[in-house]
Amino acid sequence: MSVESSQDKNWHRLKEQYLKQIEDVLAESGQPNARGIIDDVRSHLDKRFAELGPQQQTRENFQNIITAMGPPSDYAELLGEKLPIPPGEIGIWKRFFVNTALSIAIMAAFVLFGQIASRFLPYKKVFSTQPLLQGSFAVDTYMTPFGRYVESTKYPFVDDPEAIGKWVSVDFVSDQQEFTPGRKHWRWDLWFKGITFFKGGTTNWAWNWTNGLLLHMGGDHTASHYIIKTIDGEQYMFFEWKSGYYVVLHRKPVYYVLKKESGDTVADNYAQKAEQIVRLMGQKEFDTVIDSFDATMKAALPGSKLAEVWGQLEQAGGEFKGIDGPARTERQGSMTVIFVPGKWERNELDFKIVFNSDNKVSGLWMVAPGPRSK
Amino acid sequence: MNLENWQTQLRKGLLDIVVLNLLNRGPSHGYEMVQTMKRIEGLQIREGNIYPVLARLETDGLVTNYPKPSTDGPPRKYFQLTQAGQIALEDMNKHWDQLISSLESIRKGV
Repeated sequence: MSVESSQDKNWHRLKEQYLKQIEDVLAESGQPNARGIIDDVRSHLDKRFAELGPQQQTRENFQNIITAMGPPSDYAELLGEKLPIPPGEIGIWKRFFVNTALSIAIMAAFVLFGQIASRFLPYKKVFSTQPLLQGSFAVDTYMTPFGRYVESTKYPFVDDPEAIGKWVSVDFVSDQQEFTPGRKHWRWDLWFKGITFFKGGTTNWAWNWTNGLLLHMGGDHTASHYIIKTIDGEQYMFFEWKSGYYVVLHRKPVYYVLKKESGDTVADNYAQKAEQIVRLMGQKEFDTVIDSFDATMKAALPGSKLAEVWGQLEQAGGEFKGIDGPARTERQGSMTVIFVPGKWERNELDFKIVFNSDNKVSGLWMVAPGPRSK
Repeated sequence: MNLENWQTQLRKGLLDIVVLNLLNRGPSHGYEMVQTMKRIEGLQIREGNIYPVLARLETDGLVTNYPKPSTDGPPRKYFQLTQAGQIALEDMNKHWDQLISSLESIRKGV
């Protein structure tokens, strides 16, 4: 009984001390809501205390409860007292935008700075990860002087016929064992919708692939292991999602789970690739577009010429508004012809894109619009 | 750059939209919201953080509160979204989606 009383007193003293500190901080900032906040915090602390069993009523646990509440300075800060604009003159909205914009700006600056620095300053190897797939490559991970993980994206191309085709995201899991077909573990929308692996090691993203690895050539410079598993007769790909969580925060990569799409995979691949070419033209990335041309096309239609043609199209039809429906596919011998419906402000035309058997563009025309199904 | 400080600031910056989204599921009290937020990996908020946020949202007219009897103690203060809160939340979510999408585009080089 005497022990409990003593512990009760200890708790009471710690609690009141903490509430007084909050009161002082809020009084300094002249906050009219101070009393209500202190009452709420008191009620919260009482509830936390009530949850402790008799054996758990120790000074250490009391201190843990107080620590979990956060420092008293947080209360004034979260009330917006430290914002540069007085709260009376700024709505929740603007405060939200200011906070998030600042956070994003800091994040972007951090990413940019790290990338620039990693080009000029030495970085050290921190670990290697073994392939998930037999015959694939181990990945060496390095740390830049600014604490970002980077990995080589230069690996020889080794074919993996099983990977070629369209994969659609079905789940996002922290461990491969978490995945159960037909039951989505990730409760929210999947940001990454899917990926198409093309023959020869390219994809419809700014990533390349080789047996067992997806190589993020753009901003992050990471190499994600992938593995394909057959579950209940369906093919699933698990690949490491190396986002900022991994690159910056050094957490274990999580996995996107993708399901292989059946159907006319080859036609789908070409259609997706054609749509990507049209999108790139819409973004005026002409030099990237000609990377997919065969030698004859490259000579006939270099980036500068393609830009000129695009300018003429926009002059005639206004701004390009995007793809206006699903692509149509026709087979002509060894060639695959894709028609991508395009829409401009004042015009509609179809892009006719021909792929040769090497998966390269061997023809590109603008033709009268075909039937539009949306 | 102090990464820990940046993470803390980022989490605090997100509290408004997190709290409004939680209340969009239905009325709740501070303690209950804290328990839910503690289960969300990566959020790692301090338990006391929610009370000044709720007070500010109430001052801004985005949430309101009412007492409700509790079986295990004094009446609880339940918070709920106002109509202005629902409108603000819709716009905040849209804005957030756009920000995330823009950032991912930069990061993935698309």
